[in-house]
Amino acid sequence: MSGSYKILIADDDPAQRTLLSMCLEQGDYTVIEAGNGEEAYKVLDRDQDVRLVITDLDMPVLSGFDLIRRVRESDLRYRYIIVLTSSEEKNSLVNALSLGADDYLAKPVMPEELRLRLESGIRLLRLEIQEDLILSMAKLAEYRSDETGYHLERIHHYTRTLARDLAGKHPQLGISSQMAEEIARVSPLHDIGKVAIPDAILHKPGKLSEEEFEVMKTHSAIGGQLLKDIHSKSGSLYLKVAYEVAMYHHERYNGTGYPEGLKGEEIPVAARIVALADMYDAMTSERCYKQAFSHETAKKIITRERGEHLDPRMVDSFLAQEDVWLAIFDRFSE
Amino acid sequence: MEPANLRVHFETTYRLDDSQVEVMLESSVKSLKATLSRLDAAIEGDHGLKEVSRLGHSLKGLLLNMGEREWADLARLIEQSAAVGEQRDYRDILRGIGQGAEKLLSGKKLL
Repeated sequence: MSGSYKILIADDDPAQRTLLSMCLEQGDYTVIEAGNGEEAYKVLDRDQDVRLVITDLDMPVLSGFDLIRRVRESDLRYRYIIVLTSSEEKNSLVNALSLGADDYLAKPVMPEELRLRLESGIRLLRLEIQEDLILSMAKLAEYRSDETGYHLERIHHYTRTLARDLAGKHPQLGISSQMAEEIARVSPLHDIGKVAIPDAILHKPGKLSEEEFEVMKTHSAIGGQLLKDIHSKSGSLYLKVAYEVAMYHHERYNGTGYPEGLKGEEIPVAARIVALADMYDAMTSERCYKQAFSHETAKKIITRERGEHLDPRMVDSFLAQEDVWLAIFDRFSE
Repeated sequence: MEPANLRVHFETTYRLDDSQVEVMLESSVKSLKATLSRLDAAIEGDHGLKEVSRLGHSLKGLLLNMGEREWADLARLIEQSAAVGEQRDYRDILRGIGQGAEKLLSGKKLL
């Protein structure tokens, strides 16, 4: 089950590190040791293949809490983090888990428990590989349409900017910082249903006829249903959010959108966020049927759609951070 | 803390072979010596109770790994009392743990 996963053990007690290393020798792991959080972070920074981390919380130089925080801020590939704790350290444990630790091991660490918890971590990392495959499908969908270049990267960054800001400003929306990252990660899947749209419609240079537009509109339900089916098999939260985004990103706040004509809060919050990101990107990008709009023109249209097409809180967040949006546009321009 | 018990603990709890047990005995004794010494310095010096609590925490983890739950409870007492700023005779508790570990720390071959 383990394959050749690299594990980092961060603990200032050499005896603890030696003990864990010996227990892990019985499996097929490559163990790397670090004597404090700073050393551990350096290892993780230079070796992206280290995907499993077991860390003590109380360490000199950089604590386990700070290590978790820094890893989560800079993760390029997800790391499964297990914290070492004593049974009575409930507050520390809750703190570590809220910072992004995935699991814990109580001292003394039993080899069987260690093995089982690592296998849970490996299962999660494998799920991430499945997610990567699904994101590759989104890339394929993108290649088929004329939204080439950095469209998906821009959508990802616009969505993340919006979701993070909303998470801080509007707690009633129920977006945690983790949820904000999740919405950003699934945002590239919003148009995955376009793979089912005929070329003649998808690549038509002019305006679509009413019938053609009706066909084009089916892409959200097709993509939504596809992701819903995969979600029902895997149970992954990631795919549930992906389904909501793909299915409902063309709904409008005033209830005039599609596919279901949902209104206001009935529209999943992730879909409301991606709706604005997609709208801004569509307006500021050149397509086979139109020239790109300037940022100022796009801003005017978005402002006009406040409370109509778009959730007012999303529009306010966009306006408050338009410099960031412009910077993303510049960085990922074609 | 009996060396023979510690050996059995490493063999049965962690399923270590003889050579691994030797390494763990040596490593644990070294860590125990170092932690007791640092804790002693923290109690004697003016490092503050926060440092005493931190080292009490390290000692507790070490003793738990060694299967010494009762001694770990004393280390926990140091950790928790110092964490809330309680003034008590930490030197006395530490001395008790040190005496308990005497056979381990004596430097004789751990049979």
